[in-house]
Amino acid sequence: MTREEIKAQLTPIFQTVFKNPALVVQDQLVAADVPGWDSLSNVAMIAEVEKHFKIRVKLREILKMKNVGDLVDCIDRSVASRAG
Amino acid sequence: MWMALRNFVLMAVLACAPVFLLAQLDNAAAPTDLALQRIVCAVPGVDYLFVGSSFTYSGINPLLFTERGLKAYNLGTPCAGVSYYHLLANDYVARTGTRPRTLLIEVTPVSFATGADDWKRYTIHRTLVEPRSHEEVALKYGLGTRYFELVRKSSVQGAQALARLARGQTRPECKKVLSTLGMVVSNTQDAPDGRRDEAKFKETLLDTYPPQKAEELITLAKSHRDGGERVVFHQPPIFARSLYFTPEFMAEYEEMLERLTKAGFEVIPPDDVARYSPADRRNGDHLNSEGAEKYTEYLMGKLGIEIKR
Amino acid sequence: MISATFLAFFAVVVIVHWAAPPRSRVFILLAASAAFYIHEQTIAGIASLAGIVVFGYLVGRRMGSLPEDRRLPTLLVGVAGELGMLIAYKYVAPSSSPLGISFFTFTSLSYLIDIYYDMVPVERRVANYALYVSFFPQIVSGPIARATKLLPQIDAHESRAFSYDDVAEGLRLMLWGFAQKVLIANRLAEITDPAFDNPAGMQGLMILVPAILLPFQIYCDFAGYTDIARGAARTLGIDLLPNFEHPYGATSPSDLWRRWHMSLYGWLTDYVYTPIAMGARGLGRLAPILGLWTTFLLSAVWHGTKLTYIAWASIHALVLSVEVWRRKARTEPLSRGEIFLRRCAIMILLIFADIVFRARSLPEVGLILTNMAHLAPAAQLRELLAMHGASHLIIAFAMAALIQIIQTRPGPVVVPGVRFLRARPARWVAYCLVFWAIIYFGRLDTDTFLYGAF
Repeated sequence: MTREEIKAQLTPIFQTVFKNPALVVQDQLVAADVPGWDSLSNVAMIAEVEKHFKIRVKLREILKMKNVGDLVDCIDRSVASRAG
Repeated sequence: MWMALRNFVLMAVLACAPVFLLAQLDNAAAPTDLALQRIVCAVPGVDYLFVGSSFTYSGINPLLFTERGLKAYNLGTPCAGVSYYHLLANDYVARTGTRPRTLLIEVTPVSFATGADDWKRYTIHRTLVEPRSHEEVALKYGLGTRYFELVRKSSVQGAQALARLARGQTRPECKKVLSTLGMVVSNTQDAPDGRRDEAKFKETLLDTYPPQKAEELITLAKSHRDGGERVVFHQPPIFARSLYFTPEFMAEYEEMLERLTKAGFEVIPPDDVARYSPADRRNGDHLNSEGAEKYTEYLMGKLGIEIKR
Repeated sequence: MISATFLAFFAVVVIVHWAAPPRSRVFILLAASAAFYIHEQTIAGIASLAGIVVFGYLVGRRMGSLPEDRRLPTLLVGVAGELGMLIAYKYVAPSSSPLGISFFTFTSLSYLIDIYYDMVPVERRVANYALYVSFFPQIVSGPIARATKLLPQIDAHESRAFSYDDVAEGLRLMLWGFAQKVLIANRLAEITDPAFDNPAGMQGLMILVPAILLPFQIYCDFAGYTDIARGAARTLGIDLLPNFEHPYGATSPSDLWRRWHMSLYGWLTDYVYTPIAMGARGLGRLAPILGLWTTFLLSAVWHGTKLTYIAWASIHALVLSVEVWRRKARTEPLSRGEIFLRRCAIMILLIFADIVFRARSLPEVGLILTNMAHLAPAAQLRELLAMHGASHLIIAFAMAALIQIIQTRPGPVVVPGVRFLRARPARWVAYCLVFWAIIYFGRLDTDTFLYGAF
């Protein structure tokens, strides 16, 4: 799965969880830029991402994520390690 | 970096100059603060002049003297200690050009506490006929950075003085002060909160007796006696106060009283504390107007004045 | 910190700091912080601070020498030790707590936890770590520092260039901080303190009017102190975290808590809320609710041992829980009418919650609220006017209104008016005016700083 594919699959998840139908997922996106994305909805987003990509993200990794790009990289790694 | 410093200094001078200038005006016209008004509105040629602290201003009723055809005036000033006594007593003489027949000086352990003479709260040195500068007071009494608070207070008073002068008020407003001859009539009972008073006086337990203040007191008494006044020391009732000074402090205080007696000054013994019930007090240690009447009559008795009944 | 002594001390530190060779800057700041703390602190207090610095340094070094997955036991020892000391002081000997203990303990914990998560490198230089914990502008009442933000600055401090703008901005912040604290908060306290220190005799408007002013007093008190701290740090070339982002302009409870006491709640969010809520993410909507209840109850305990803090925290946790549970889609931005109504609702919430926070006991909260219901507007208004004077009350409400207007402004939080005054002479006049306002209209005599007790 390429990063672009991951981002494409993340977009509907983000749009649903943050209740923002116009949202487009990009690497530089951070919570502060998205109305509806805060620490309260972040939990639901991570849960949905894990369910969708069938991965488990560690707390350590969550804390280190600074933007959506880091999330995409994390998904990429987790999917790759699951497959390999 | 040096330009930043230069700009800052420039800015500071610009901002502070008016503050210092206004501070010079503070004794231009009569103050509105009752404590300071008392000094300015002093009645000349009294028979009995009372110099003391808050125990005096709410504990001595000069009107009882008026009833007997005698003139008395209450110069009790909040937070006064021995240094204030000097300024107050000497200012009265300089301002009115008269000397009282009898000068009564309040003396209690609190007069010698570190907390007495609170220059920060009452800038009386600026209200004198011969005002002392803040710099002089700060240096003489070692005030350190409290000097800035003094300047600030003076500046506020200066601004108020300016406002009064603009309104054409050049004479002191003495009506209120003269109606009670300097006494503060107080009948409100502060909520009995022993904890609040206790906290305040816990610091005094750390005080050590200051021999130089005792010397100052004796010097003051001698100079007024040399001026022809009868100098008498009196001790307003102490209720819990003795709990807040160490026995060493109290012992030195008693010794100082003995020295005063030996030097030939009258020292009126304290009244029996049991005569004063809580109804006579406005808080832990200060008398209200009921208590003031009792204490004033006691003093009058000791001074040889007939008490009418 | 509101004293001529501090200002004189501060001026000397700033000049020495920038005039000295850059290599010595950290040591100068450390010496200044030590002098600041030793002045008027007990031996026990100084020993506690020194102790936590040494302890934190050693635990950090130990964790750094272990691989990531073997660090947990050491972390637990470190956290238990530091938190244990805080709890011991708070619950056993609150009156002899060292100054700023809640703040420097959390600053120290941030370092240990960040090392555990490998987010910050181990600090080998003792002086740098000691300065991180004890930096004097922040030690009294925050902002709480985070290792990831402050340690790198300290490590790079010797190469920080002197900047005129930094010094100007820092001094400007300090001036505004003093204005908020001395001119606004202390003056408002003249109205709120008599009501809340003696609520038994206060009915209806006598307690309602001070209650309306209470949120503004609390905010200006704390924001003022924060600005003084951040301004002082900025003058020395250090950026501390902000604590407030116009909180009273918030349009929802979650918005409010993203803007209030941000250094504390950011800390709690990262180290308490996130692990718990993420750990419980299988529980759906309950996960964030569990997380925020834990966070708020912990923040109550951080503030102190009074039941009123627990009640206060619970009110906010409850309101937030309702918001989380009922989150709906929003496709259009809020209309101005909606924003206004929401802000009114937030203000009512704040007045109520602040009463609980300020009351001295839970029964007193009940007393205040029942008393407030006994309204006799004409008589009580007369009593209020007699007690405080018409001009004082008008000025108090004018100041509160001014603060609220500033709060509703969006955008980066700056000292008000800075954007409008471009020319230097205009700014200098403004600084003088503010300075004189503080001197002549401020209340410097008493220091009712609510957050100084933490």
